[in-house]
Amino acid sequence: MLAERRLDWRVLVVHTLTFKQARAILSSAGPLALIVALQGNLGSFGLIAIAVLVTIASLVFSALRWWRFSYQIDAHRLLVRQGLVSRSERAVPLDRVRGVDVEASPLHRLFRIAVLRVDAAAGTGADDEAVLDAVSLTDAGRLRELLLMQRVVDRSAVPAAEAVEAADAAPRAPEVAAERVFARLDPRWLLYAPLVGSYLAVPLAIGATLLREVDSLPIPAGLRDLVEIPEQAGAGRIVLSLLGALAVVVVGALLAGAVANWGFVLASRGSNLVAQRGLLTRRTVSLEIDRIRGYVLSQGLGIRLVRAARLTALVTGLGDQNRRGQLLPLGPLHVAEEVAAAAVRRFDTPLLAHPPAALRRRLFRAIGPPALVAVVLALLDLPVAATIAAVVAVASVALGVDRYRALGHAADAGALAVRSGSVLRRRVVLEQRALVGWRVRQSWFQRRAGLVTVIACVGAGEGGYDVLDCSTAQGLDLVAAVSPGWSAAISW
Amino acid sequence: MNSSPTGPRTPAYQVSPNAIGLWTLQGVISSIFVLAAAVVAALVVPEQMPAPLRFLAAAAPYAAGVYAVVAVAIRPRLRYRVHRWEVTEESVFTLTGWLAQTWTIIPIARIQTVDINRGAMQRLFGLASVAVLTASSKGTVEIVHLDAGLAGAVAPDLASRAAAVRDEAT
Repeated sequence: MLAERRLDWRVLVVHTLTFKQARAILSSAGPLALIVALQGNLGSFGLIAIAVLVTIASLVFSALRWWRFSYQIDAHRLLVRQGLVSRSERAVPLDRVRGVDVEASPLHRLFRIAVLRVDAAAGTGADDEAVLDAVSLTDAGRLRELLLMQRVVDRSAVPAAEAVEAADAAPRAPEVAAERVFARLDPRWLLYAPLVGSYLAVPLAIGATLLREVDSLPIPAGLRDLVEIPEQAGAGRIVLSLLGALAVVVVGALLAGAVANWGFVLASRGSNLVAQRGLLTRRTVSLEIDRIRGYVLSQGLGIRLVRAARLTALVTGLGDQNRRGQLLPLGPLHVAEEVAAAAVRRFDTPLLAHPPAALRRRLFRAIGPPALVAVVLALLDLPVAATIAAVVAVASVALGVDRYRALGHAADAGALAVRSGSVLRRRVVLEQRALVGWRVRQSWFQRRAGLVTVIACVGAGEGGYDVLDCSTAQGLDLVAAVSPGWSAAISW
Repeated sequence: MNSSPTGPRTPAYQVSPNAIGLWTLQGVISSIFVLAAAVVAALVVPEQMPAPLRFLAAAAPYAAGVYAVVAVAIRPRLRYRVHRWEVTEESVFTLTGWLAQTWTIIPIARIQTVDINRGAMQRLFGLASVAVLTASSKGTVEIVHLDAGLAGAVAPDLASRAAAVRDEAT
């Protein structure tokens, strides 16, 4: 239980400086003021006056919001009241709280405050969260424990009011304090970042923007000579420039990876898994262990070549699963496997390969499209393009073989595992209790080849995971092994 | 149709024979649109287009004609032969499709809601569908085109059995 209170006052400084509240109102006035300032020859005094006025306005808006924003926790709910003129009141029932995220930007960290996001059960709409921007760091920790622990106590069927008192009396119950660290990011793992598309995209996007503006930027002449390749440049100079660009992109990806993942720690705290990460903005995400139904080990082509992987948890009723469910953002495959085994469940049963007919289908799927394009281009009298397409078609043999070798599935006493994909290889492990249905698809071609695609339907992650092109017998065996009893009707 | 063990088992019951009429009507409507589009494409094709594209445009009306024959005369009957459903002690089990086929099985314990849907065209043929939803977006199953009276009996039965054995874990 927590009496009604306001947010931490230090957020006033942060919001004033970032124009958080004033931005919406000033966005129209801002450019106008700028034009007046530039064309009206206001001089430095005028400019300073405008800056001071805008800052004061920002402070006033921030203060008004702070004054009219309050939150409290009563026996059953977290209540958030806000609004200057039209008041809104949001009530989040405590037994619907799915997770509490704590996020602190560099500015927030400077003032030792953090933004608290309370995620409530999904299903009633996208906007199922309450945001407290911001509370002090100590309050953030206390609130998180209070919000998450009350739900745990609720679970054991203690009447809510008593549970809250118990929580108040012993804010650090032994089960909450219990902590076990599953993973800690080794800074060396950041070297994998240049092999990950999403981190590579950061320097590439910045580079593309800069190149477009390169002529208008005030780059010193000496530096410009380094950047621009002269018309009659030798091969050496071009190679040098390309290597330089490559180095910049690699360093940029390293930085992007470091900013996102620096100091990543995954630990259990009470009934939750808590993941912390970030160099500048620090994020703390809590996942309820009871709701984890499996995990996904994913490897893009780049990090697969160096035997690295990314680990994500499958959680029921969790939005934004890919970002928030991260158990290991980047690391060696064997470490990711160990973390999965320790934090979710161990799955050691070797995967069954799919029949040779699946290989034929993968090859046909891989080679078919570029081969067709090659034929069409040849018909259109474009010999060079047709040759390129033909070469791609031949190279696609490797893709088809690799995609076939990825295919596999297995079941053990309580879970099933599925693997597929070449450019993005994924190994999904799903707990048996996550299953809410099975779907078996068979196209006309699959029927002739004696294959089926089995889809395990679950109420977490993407909703369904495909076992691509297994034999009909394999598919029915898998269904029978994972869900004995209710699935009997589907087998002969 | 699918009695050989190349696929999973075939559920017990067929849908209402009126479904053939409904699927045929839907085939007629979609054929009209496809034929109209193909004829327009063949008529307005510019002369200076490359030969293969000109050939494609000229062939479009014939392809649309083939589509119309399939959609009106063949597909509805194939669908009727494939579509099957069954409610067992513990599960809802359906088979849908015509060339590509899909079997879906859902445990009654995991059913969240059971709806009866009656579209405008379904009313015309005295049909109704029973939609069974679970926590998974992909784990939904619709028993399409049952006789309306039968759907009205199946849905409440499923709903009450689901309520009796509901398994809250997802």
